[in-house]
Amino acid sequence: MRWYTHCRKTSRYLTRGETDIENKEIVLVHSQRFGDVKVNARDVITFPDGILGFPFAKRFALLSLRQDLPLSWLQSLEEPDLAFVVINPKHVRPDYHPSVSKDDLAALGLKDLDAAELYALVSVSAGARRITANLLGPLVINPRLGIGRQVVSVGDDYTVKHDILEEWRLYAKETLNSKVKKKGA
Amino acid sequence: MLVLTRRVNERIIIGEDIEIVVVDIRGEQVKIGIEAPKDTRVYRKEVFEEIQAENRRASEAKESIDKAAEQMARLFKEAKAGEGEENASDLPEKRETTIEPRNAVEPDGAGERESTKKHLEER
Repeated sequence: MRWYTHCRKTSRYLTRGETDIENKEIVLVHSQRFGDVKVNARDVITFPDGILGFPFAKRFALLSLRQDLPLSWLQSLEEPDLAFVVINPKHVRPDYHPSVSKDDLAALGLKDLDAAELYALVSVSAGARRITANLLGPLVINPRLGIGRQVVSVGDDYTVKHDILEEWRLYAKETLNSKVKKKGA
Repeated sequence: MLVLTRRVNERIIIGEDIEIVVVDIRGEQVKIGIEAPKDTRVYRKEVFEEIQAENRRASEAKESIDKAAEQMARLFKEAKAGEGEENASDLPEKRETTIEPRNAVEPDGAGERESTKKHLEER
């Protein structure tokens, strides 16, 4: 399956539940960036253990950030000032396969990652020139139960600072090369 | 800090449901097995601290993401420009995606404790 199409299918950065009329329960989310946003209660994700370093923040809503980027805004429901920029890690490394321990999967009520949604926290540094994703500690979400956990991918080479732009440059180059090749053929 | 002396295969129990066993000692390295309830999270401390520190940095990204977004959007557009093309086989093999954990997972609860034990022994 193709890269972008696949990611679109596995991502819900376009706000999920927009057309969901089944569950009418609405939660009001206070966000420093977006003001007050109404979110379907089913789209609230609870992290029972919090995010490492932010143990008090347990409930989050995933909001769409920009239509032209696969980034989402993970807004804390407890703290209007606390939000993370997250990315579907498949958009960074389409072959991303974190090794999630059975204990983590069990805590999320998951048998494997097939039904899970994955997100990586994004950091911006060097005057906005370096944009990295934490692929070592992804957020794993069970969308059915609305619960998530930040896990540590064990035994892999993933780092907490995986360069997103570098991957995209590489992919753009490969795309260009394959086009040139086709033209020549 | 409580300090205890243990030999290989001897155990320490913490509370009622956490057990620590010395699996092996070789030179300066000690292999430790930990049995704990599923909701007790066990990490190497340096990994835990690394992720915690990165999370703090990530919590700042909301301030500067807009500055980065234009450049990101341009590159992202270029990166997915090949999408409209007919021939998907032009894409390099490694870009093929499926979502599967690298380690096979048993569907039932069997071996859950093993996994915690195992990943601490790995290095």
